[in-house]
Amino acid sequence: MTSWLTSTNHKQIGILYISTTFLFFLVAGILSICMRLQLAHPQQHVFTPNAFDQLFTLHGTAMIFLVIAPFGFGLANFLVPLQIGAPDMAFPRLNAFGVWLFILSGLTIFAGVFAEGGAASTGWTAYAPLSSTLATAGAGQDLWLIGILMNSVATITVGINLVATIFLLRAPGMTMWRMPIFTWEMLATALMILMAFPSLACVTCELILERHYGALFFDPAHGGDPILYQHLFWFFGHPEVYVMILPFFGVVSEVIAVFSRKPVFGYVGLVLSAFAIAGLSMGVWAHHMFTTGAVANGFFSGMSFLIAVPTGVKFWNWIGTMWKGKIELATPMLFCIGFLLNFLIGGVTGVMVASPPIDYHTEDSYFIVAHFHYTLGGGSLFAIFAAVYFWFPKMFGTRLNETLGKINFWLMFAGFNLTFLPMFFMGIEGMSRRVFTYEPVGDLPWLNGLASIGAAIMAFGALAFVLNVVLSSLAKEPAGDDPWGAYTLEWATSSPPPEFNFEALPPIRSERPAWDMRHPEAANSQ
Amino acid sequence: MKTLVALFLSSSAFGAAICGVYWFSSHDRGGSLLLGFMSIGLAWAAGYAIVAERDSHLAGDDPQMQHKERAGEDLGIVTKQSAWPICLAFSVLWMLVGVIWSDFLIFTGLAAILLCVWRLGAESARV
Repeated sequence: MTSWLTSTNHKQIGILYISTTFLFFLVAGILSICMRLQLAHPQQHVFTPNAFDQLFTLHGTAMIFLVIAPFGFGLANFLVPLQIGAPDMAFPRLNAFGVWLFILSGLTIFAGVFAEGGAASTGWTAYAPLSSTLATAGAGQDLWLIGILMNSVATITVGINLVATIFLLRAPGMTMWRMPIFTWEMLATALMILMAFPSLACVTCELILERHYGALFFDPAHGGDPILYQHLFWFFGHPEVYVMILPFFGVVSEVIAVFSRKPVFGYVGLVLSAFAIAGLSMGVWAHHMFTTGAVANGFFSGMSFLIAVPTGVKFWNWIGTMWKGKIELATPMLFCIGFLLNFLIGGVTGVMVASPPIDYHTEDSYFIVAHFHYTLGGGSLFAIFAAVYFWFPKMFGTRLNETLGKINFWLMFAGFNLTFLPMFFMGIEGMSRRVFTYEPVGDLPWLNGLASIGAAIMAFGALAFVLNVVLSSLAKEPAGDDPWGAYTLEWATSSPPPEFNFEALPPIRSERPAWDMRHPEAANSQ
Repeated sequence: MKTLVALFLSSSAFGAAICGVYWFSSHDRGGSLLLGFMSIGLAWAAGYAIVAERDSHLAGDDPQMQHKERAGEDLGIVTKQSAWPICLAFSVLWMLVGVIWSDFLIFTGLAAILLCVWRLGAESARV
């Protein structure tokens, strides 16, 4: 126990991140089931309006700040040093500080539940003046702000550590253009973190100062500007969307290549598209503010459309990797195919709402809820499962059960689409997001019922995953060092890896050193 | 390092370009400043990398380097355990909750943070 509390080893810290994110994922999942219970039928009163506000605030906050993004950081903590042949991260103690600050940030946010007046209830965006004034008094909102501030600092420590590690600690021969795609994607993510998260830390501090020390940044009656809050928040908020997806583009690129038995198609294209997405995403923040009428809609719309181009390049590369490959439909690959299908829907609807005329109609409706769940739920979450099934043997030396894995996938895939596809139609019919109930008009009652059934199916999918982890951990069947015949450097060491990662490093002469090690003749001929 | 410098420089140039386009299309000072700071920050990182590159001989930058060529090289000591990072994290929390409940928590939290930072510094010096 003490060794986990005081460890500065990147693998233990990575596992701490990942296991904590799964605990928060289970809590966030329970919150979403509560929401779907409330919305299963029109005009229900399972929860009060205020309790419902707290539910969606905590669900959104948990999924964004405590599950999806930090899972990527945990995976990067575990994998990046292994993938580049480093003994640890560049700053191990900063790394340990980051993970504990992250864990405490989550506990602080949820501690608001026990505060008088309940937890924060202003949504994950916490727009001022709703969040900055007495309109939302109470320690719950304060604890939320403190938690988010700690979370942003923890995330910045991850960014610093990843950039320094990737630039400075690569093994001999591991030039940048030989790094695995996952490491490249994490580098792009880390740079985005360093540019975007200070904005979140600043705006959170400003809110704390407004609430407790009489500052007036966002109060128009005293020369403040609530739109300033939105600018600062979304300057972090939109890159954050890509902080939550770029690591998983890396996961998908690695997994698809291995289970197609081919090198990744268009390595350079994948790398450059990651940086194009990262760069463009820094210039689209106000497409979340089209309807304020206070931003240059044309500029932000154009920039948002442009992001579709490098994202399309990635799809092209993934399809090219699978093309004429010997595709093996193991569980990680199934989750990646699920990712491709879901993320495509999320991406295409993203292009739709990048157009201000369409955005004016769909803003704050369930259409938007469906859109971002298809990108972050159907996209990132499916890639998270792919990553867990793929790298679990490397982390713990044992494989997860394939049959339970496939049950897990099909339940999640069916449940996910049953939950979120109807939400597009609810949005088109005018159902607003963040409302605790609705009138029984049009198709809304049966569409909502369908979504609630889908959520229950997803919950069974999550249960299958938990069961799989427990049973496989108890069975402890040795997986071997490289059960998949994978390519990147982490598969050239033992499973789990030794304390400083490698007893002996193989020569690194391409972006597939583990494959080169197993096939020296073929590697030499190339 | 060349890749690193190219990465920072191209990102900075891109940031400067969209900053210019944004300013001329919106005349919004806030957003233009954010993009400007981003661009300047990246340019500073590129400049720093160029200066640092003069003295750097990173093993990872040499495509033909053998592992044995680094044998015996002093890489320092990689920390295995330290209690101070978790103490520092708790101290930060202690200080911040003081904003809600008591100035006493803020000051004691700040003192605890300083103690942790001092101990971390001392630990680094030993390593």
